[in-house]
Amino acid sequence: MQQTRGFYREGQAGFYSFHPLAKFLSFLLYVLSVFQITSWISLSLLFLAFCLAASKGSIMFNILRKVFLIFLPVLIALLFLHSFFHPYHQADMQWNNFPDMSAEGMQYALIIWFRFICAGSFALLFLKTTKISALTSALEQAKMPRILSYIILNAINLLPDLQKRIGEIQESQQARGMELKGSLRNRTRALLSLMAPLIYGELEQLDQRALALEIKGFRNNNTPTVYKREKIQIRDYFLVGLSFGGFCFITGIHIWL
Amino acid sequence: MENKTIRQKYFSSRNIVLVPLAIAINMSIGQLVSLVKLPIFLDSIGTVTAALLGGPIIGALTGLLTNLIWGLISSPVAASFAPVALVIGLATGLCAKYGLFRSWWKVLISGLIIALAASITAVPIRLYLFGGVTGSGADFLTAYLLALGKDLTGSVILTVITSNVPDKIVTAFLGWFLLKGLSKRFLSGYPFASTVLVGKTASAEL
Repeated sequence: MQQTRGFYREGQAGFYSFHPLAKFLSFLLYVLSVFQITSWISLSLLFLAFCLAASKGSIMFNILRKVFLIFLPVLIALLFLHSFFHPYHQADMQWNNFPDMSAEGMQYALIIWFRFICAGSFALLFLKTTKISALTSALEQAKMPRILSYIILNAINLLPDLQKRIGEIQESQQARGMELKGSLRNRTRALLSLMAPLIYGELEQLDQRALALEIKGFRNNNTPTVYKREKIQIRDYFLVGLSFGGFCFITGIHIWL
Repeated sequence: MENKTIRQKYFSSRNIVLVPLAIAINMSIGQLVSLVKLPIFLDSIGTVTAALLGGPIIGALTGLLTNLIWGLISSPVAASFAPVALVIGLATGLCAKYGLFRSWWKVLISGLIIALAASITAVPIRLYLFGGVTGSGADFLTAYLLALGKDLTGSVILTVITSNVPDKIVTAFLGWFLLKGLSKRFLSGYPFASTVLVGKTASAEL
């Protein structure tokens, strides 16, 4: 099975240099702005502006490829559903070959899709330029309970171990004649024979982990989970200010129109 | 002082280590099911197990963090459904608290309640955030219902309920069987779980 450790890629230029909290706040403001826009043309222009602004770090092509791969099935489903079966269908598209396609449905599908492309690109830019440990550290700095930091980091560290364990169980069960293909019954049996040893095996180890936490005195002392902390700098304030300005501008236009 | 009491009640060392494991189980089993190509998700089996062992708060936290972490490391779409996962954990914990995990027919009712709660939360997200589709196979059912003349809201509600009910019933049963298979020594570390199976009122322990 494929091991997952996150989207983060090493780098230093451009968006990498901002504080995780500043990036996170900008992302939230950007998403709030995007979901206020109700024209697909405005959304596509915003997306273009974002691409130009974020292209400094040389990972933009990678991000766009990933975003289009993630949201391509959504686009196909949206266009299919809303073009042919839009519930408020009044105006047909003026294409000879597709007389039943709804113009309203098509526009609605494009609005939804562009919102996802805009929000998804920023989300990926954020995730590719921010280590999860740096994010949890920053959130802890912003007074997030350190139990949450522990849970998030521990879950991410446990994932590859579990995937490795599934591979081992799968190999041993296949040696005993288990088949992953075939009828629904066969596949259900295969799933249960993989799932039960995995979950019971991992639950058995919980006591040891809990004991380790007790010995460390995790619940009683206030030592931080992450020791490396980044300082917030002037450029971080600038990024948040710029995002806030954009958000206010779009909200203003939305209210005015 | 009150906060410390709540922390001590819900966040014992055992519960703190249970949550990340349940999150990792959710993701791994979700991937495993897609590998075996079964027509259900089973991506909340860890949430259900955590809720049965630790109670509604632990279940809700597991569900919420599962989807947020999933969004962070592989699929940003999953993060939008974080409130649904939170409700699944909460509903499971509450069903267990009120004795709905003590016999097979009660587990069946629990599965239905969890599916209903998840659907109520999922419908607005699917409808207003995604325009009724998520790019999965279930979208064909939405399209079919729209073609039959149903409105978008009705079609999405029916699609979400149809895909959630079997999944959540199977998940509830699997969680119950898993709990029954655990040793008494292990369960003694989780006061909530022992009351789920034995039949005492869980609220006394909480």
